[in-house]
Amino acid sequence: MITGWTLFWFAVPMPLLVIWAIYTYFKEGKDEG
Amino acid sequence: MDPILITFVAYLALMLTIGIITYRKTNTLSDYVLGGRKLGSWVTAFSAAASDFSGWLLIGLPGAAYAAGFGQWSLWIAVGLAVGAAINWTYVAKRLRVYTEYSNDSITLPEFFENRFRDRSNLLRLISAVFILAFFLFYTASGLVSGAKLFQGTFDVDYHFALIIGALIIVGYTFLGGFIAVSYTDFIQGVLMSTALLFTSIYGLIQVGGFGGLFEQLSAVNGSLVDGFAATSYNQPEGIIWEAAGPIGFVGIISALAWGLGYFGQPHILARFMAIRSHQEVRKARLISISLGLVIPLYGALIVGMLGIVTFDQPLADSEQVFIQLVQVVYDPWIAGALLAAVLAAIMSTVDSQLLVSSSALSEDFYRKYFRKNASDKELVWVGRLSVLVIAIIALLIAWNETSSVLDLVSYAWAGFGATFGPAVLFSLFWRNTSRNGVLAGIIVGGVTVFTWQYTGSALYEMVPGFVFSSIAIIIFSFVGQKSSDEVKEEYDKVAGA
Repeated sequence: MITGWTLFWFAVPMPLLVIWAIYTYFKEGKDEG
Repeated sequence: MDPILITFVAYLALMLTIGIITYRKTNTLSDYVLGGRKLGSWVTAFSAAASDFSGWLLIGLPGAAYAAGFGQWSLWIAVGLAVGAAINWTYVAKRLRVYTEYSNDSITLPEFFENRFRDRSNLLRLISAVFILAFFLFYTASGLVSGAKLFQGTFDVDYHFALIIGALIIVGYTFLGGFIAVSYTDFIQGVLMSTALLFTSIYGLIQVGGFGGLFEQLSAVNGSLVDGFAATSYNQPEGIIWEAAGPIGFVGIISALAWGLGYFGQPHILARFMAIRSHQEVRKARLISISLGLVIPLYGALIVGMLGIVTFDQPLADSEQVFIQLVQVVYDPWIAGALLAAVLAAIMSTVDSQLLVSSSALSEDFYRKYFRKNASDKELVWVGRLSVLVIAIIALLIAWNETSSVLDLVSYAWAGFGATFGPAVLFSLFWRNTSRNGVLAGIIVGGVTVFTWQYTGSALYEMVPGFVFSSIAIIIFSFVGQKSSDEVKEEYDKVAGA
């Protein structure tokens, strides 16, 4: 079966970047507005 | 008539129509090269992704995932690229957009370096333009080869005939519309690529019982396919079918992750940041690009490759045919035609951007600088167009050899730009004490390291030493050489405070 660390590197970093992009979108919008 | 052929023709007709329409909107060199800095966030986001990924996203990455599942470098390269692109969008995009406008409205990377450091010798601009032309010739050639191989594989036509047809179409609309055409067609192509990967992977996952089913079937083939730290060998013609090949090792993981460093120096991607309508649009473009233009296609490419392992009865002779073969097995020919047009889209959208940046290097950095200082805008647009033709013809000659290796050339050019311009861009944007001599040394050291690293015999990707040595050169020569003037530092402070 798939190893835990492989699953972690597959499932965590990329979705985390999307969350980061959503967070900075709202944060910078607030700073500018 | 063949439904796949009809879809291809309809798609190409649409791209040429956009070229002709935007031809009328192109009046100045800035319009031709940067679209007059009028791009909105959606177009910027998808055109940056589309010009970035090339045929590699639909051919190379699924091919790697097919050959080794997680068990090689496909997972690490996807993570490295995603992180690199996210950092590029978060820190470089806005600063570069603002700085290029402050620095005498620079429209190309070489021009930015020259204006940023008030380099009166033209050396900075000349050396940058030489590296851009050198690396892009091979990059463009590799794109033309990919296009030819796609036509050849799909329609069973002669390689050289396919090569010429593909080149005529790509050059046709780059020649007509310049940046506006390229950016709008890139937008359509970016959407098409993401959609193709998304639907193919979701449909396939449903068929195999979701991720759980996929991973179970993969590990039944070989446990190394579901272990990101293990290597897997695959060479069907030699009878090696998914065999475990020991650990991937630290050098392997670092080399794959280092692809992410390449983003900071790719002139065709950075050009998208310079062209966005205003720096306020960057945050929206970043969100669209990272989610829809980056993470979804990367996941899609990995999943499509792994679905291939559990779908085909007979292992493929060429692992990179996995997406092309999978869509023909899974879908109705009309849908397959549209999805294969997406492969062509991926290739075209990168080649056109690269042609355009090379053309701007010739027209802006050589012709205007050395031959006709007072050339009119109309004249420069025509010189830009003729440059596209000249570069395309040379790339065509390089691509003429049927045995050219596409991925080797792409990986080489990616490292070349990343190491040559990446540190130079980052230090120019974020370190106040960077000097003209520092950047000049960094560009030369980065480029030369990439050219020569192969002779060391090291398995480490040339991006890593190139990037590190270039950064060290910038720091040393900025300290020991002539310092930047007060005017340069004041401009830096203005940009930093903007």
